[in-house]
Amino acid sequence: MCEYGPARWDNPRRAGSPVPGAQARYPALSVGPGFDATRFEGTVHSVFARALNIQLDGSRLAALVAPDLPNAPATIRVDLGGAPFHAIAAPGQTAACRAGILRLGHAGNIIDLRQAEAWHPKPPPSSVPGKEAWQSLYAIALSSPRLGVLTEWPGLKICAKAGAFAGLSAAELIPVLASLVGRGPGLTPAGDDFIAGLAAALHWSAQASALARHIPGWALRTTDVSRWLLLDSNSGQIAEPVCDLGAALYGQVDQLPLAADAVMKLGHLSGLAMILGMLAGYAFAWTGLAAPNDIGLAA
Amino acid sequence: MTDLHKIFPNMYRDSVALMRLSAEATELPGIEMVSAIMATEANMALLAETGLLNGAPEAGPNDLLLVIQGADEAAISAAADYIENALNDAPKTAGDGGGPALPHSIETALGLAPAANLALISCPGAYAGAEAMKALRLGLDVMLFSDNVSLEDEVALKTLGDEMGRLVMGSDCGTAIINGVPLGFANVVRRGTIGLVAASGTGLQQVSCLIDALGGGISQAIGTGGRDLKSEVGGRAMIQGLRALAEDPGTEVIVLISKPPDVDVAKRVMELAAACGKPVIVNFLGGTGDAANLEEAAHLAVAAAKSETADLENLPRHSLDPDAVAKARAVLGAGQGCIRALYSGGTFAYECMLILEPLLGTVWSTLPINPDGLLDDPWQSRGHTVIDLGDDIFTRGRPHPMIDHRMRGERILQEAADAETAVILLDLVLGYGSHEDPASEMAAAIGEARDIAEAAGRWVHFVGFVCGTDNDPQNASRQAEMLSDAGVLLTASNAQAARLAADIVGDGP
Amino acid sequence: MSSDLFRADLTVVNVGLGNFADAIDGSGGTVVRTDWRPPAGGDADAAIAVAALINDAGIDAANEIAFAKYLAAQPVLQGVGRAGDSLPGMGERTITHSGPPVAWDEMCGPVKGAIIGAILYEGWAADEAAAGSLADSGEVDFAPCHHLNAVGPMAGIVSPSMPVWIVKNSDAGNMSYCTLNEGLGRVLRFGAYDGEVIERLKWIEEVLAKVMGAALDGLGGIDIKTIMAQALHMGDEVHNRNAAATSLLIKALIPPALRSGLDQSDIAAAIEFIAGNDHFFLNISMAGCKSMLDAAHGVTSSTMVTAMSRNGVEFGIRVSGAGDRWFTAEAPVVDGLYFPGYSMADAAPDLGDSAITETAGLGGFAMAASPAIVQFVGGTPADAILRSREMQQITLGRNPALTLPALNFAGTAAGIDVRQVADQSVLPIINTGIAHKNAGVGQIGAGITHAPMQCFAKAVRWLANNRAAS
Repeated sequence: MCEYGPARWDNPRRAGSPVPGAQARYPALSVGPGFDATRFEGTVHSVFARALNIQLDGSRLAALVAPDLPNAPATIRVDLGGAPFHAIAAPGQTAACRAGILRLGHAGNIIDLRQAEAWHPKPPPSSVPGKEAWQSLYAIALSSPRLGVLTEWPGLKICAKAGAFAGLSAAELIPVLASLVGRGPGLTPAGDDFIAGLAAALHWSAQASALARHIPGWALRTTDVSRWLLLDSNSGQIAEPVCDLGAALYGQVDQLPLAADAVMKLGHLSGLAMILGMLAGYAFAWTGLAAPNDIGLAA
Repeated sequence: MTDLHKIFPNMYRDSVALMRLSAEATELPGIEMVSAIMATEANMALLAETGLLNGAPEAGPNDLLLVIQGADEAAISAAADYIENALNDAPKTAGDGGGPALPHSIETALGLAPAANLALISCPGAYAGAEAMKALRLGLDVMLFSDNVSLEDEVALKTLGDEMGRLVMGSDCGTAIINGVPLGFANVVRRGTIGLVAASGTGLQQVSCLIDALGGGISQAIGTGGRDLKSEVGGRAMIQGLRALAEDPGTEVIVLISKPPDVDVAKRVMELAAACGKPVIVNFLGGTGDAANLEEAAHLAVAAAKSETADLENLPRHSLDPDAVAKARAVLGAGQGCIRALYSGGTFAYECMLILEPLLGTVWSTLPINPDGLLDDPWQSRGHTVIDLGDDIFTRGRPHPMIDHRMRGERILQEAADAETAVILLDLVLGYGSHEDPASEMAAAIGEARDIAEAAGRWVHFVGFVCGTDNDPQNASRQAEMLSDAGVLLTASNAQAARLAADIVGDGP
Repeated sequence: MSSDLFRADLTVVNVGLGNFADAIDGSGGTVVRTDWRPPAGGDADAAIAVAALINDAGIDAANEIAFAKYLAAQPVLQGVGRAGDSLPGMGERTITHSGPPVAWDEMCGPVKGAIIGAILYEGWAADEAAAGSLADSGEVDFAPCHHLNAVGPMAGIVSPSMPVWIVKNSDAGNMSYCTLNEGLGRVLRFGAYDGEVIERLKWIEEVLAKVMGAALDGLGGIDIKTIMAQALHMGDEVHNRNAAATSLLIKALIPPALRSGLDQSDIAAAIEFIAGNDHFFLNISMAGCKSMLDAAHGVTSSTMVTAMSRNGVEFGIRVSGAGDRWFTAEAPVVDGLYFPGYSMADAAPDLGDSAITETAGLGGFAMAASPAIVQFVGGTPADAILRSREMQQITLGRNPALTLPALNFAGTAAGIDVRQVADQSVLPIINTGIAHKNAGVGQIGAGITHAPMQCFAKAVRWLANNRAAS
């Protein structure tokens, strides 16, 4: 039998496209609640191997991500069959969604959002988490090999002192957090990730008002991607693994390492910073979580 | 006299393009008549009426049928060549050739332009409903210019539109201005904070132009189509438009324009208007509302936008002082007592009748307010006659009077020859879509009319108004100047023109 | 909420009067012009049906499944068998024909002639007159080849004793069949039935089929898509030009034929026969295409065309989601290039199952691969590329296994979507030979024709009316 060469120029996943003449169609698996999944328009902002960002006109960033990445407020999970995201779009291209069909570029690829699952963050209970759970998670975070990288960054030393936040008043909290905005390495600076974790914990504890007035101002002082991380977190809109970790603080302690691991996977330092922020937030919101000698800034 | 019939199978061109081509080709030497049409049943029936159709040519609705009548073979052949060249000249590719072929459908268009958000549909009515449905299902808002869409289809479209959260402007929606872009027959008006929702195209045009003249501006002007406020349709488009403007940060004042709606629909609309959180000026002509006519609506809106109150009591009655009116009356002969109002906009005709009837008694029309005033023959005026020459009765197989002034020109001459005529009243609607220089066309007809009247020892008054702005392609001031030079008594609005005509034929101040 | 319209830049799609687009352009807005014409050839009901089927998630999902099955198909030429033993449901007095169902008294000249020839070949009647009476009597069952998993070129006549290629889709397991190509000139498929024709049919049954069968046994089968893919890179479109594919086929068959142990002179005669018939591969191509499309057939709600076929009287299409229905229209007479002495007045209406190649993305759809055929059917190589591109607008996708060098090795457009044909008024293009309307004269020309719009109008109306609630 003779062999023929592989297709060179075509994407093999060239199956039933609803738009004639288009390149290829990919069904989306799930969509976050942060924007209207039936209609939006914007421009492709940045493209990576396993994700791309779309700058929605006059609004926020939305992300297309590979299916193994977690659900998040403005994320669309889509399976490209192993192809990298560079293969389906380039920065600067138009991205517009009409009646649930997202078209990238002119006569380009299509993401079908019509039957994607609508994901919403599931908030943890709004009561005080278990003290043992909080301590256990704190210990897990402090034992992370990446802790040093985080705390050695100028201005971020306080991130390791989640317990210290237990003794702060609302007035004292604000300048501490303000000093973290935009600080640290990463696409989302670790300082912002810390604030996001903290804000989420406060929101879930029904104490979001402490930060609500300040976050919009802080959001303007950082990167495009981070801006929305902060704004979303203020209303408890945060990536799925973070919600799950929050919920794990109310359950069996032995579930925590797995849940924490899932959050740690969110970027090099982002996950760790969010965990520490969450712990700090819960410590601030409730009494009795942190160990007595951890409390207070002097520690 | 010889004929030529030629069929171009599977060639489609829109009706306006074909009319223009026919008109141009008719001017060629030795040519008596040219008709280029898509061979639909309706068009073939019209062609048969003209007596040009020989037998039953084998042509279907997707075929183009060309019929030429001329003096001899040579002339006809030349005309046929001219037409064939023009037909084949139509752009097939985006951007003057060399680019990708033009898309054949809304779906393929969306593939090329993913951020498209509005479909403007002006194809023949038999297909327009389906195109609008496709547009809605594809997630676009719709402006449905086409008429001859069934009422059931319109209701179905607006129901789907409501489900999809999308606007359906139409059917038979001739005018809109969205995000400052004129759609259909629309004027170039200042951008501002007043939003309009109108079931009448010319009503929308007049109010937007008057607002512009008063220094105000338009945020959005949404057309709903003429039937929107009937009970079957339930005012769906007006309600959607009202809601959209209530939410729109760029709109501070809202104006609703229509003829009187169905009673329940009016109630629902007024309730929503009252609750929407912004000042709403309701202009249901001849019905309930804040404004008695289009001019008042404009004044109220501009005042509301400045947070002031409008002084409706002191609006000018029209443009002549009582002495001038008396002089105008004086030059009329004994038998001359009638107004002949020849409109290109239906709402203007309606507004005119609303103003004239209380002042002068029965006003005759093809669509009279008083059922006793129904004209036996639309082509023959009697007494005070107010007609909309854009109505289907007059436009079968001919271009709309806003585009082509020949029909109105002929009627002007007819009225001038009628011994009863005292005042001929005209509207001149400018803007995109309208004729490029209507004032010149009208001036020529007016000149001829004066000659006819003079030969019979009479003077006929011409009263009119220009609906347009200086930024329109035709430039309203220049058009007004031309009319003025032709001796037309100009006013600022339709209401003023009607009152002026009434005063001239009336008994006293 | 439609207020989002006010926040975005307005981009208008203009359908209808061109001067509205001019106005938007002139006032600084953005407009997308369309070259619109009434859909479905001016059929307003079909236009409404299309509107109901557009942007439907269920239909798109069904089309994805159907198209994937078409792509995954791997037709393998396994061997040769007797039609009566191979075609499911073929009785001993069954004769199949090309195209949708048609009654004997309505059949066109070439088809009637071919049936007479088949009856004589089978020995069911002694002469032409008796054969005619038998055909008329109702004692012979006529059925479309398609109904028995088969396809046939031109008249497409298959009778029980005829040998057929046996093709199996090794992916989904479905079987398809086609007779062996007789060659050019006075042949059964153009309606000839004289002694020479019957003799040749006998020789095919007794000699050619045996040699082919033995060779294929020796090889263990031939992958049809492989040959097609290579042939597309060598100037064939495997409908009207099959010279390269036939050469590749014969190259593969000669060694196992020589080793088969059959009589040398038979083998030589068989090889000579194939070598002298540049269209020999066509029948295998058709069976292969049928194999791919049958795999895609029967997906509920799918709007993908799975057969296009003509019987000299009607043109019919089948759609994956419409079961066994044929959507038919009058078969057009082809306005093509005629051999000297012949004209359109002599032509039979469009005939044959060979449009199954276009249905699978080959033939006219792959015209860009075959500049030579373009000349023959009237056109330039640039036209060929344009045609192949145009077909991309009405198809569900492209087949990455069958690529066209002239389009930078893009996969050929395949999977006709009836909705797009009706919506855009772009018809599937077919490269076809033209038969003389009288039986037995043969091919008198070739040209480009289109599937009639009415078939697609009927199909979308049926699909819209029978759209399962999802």
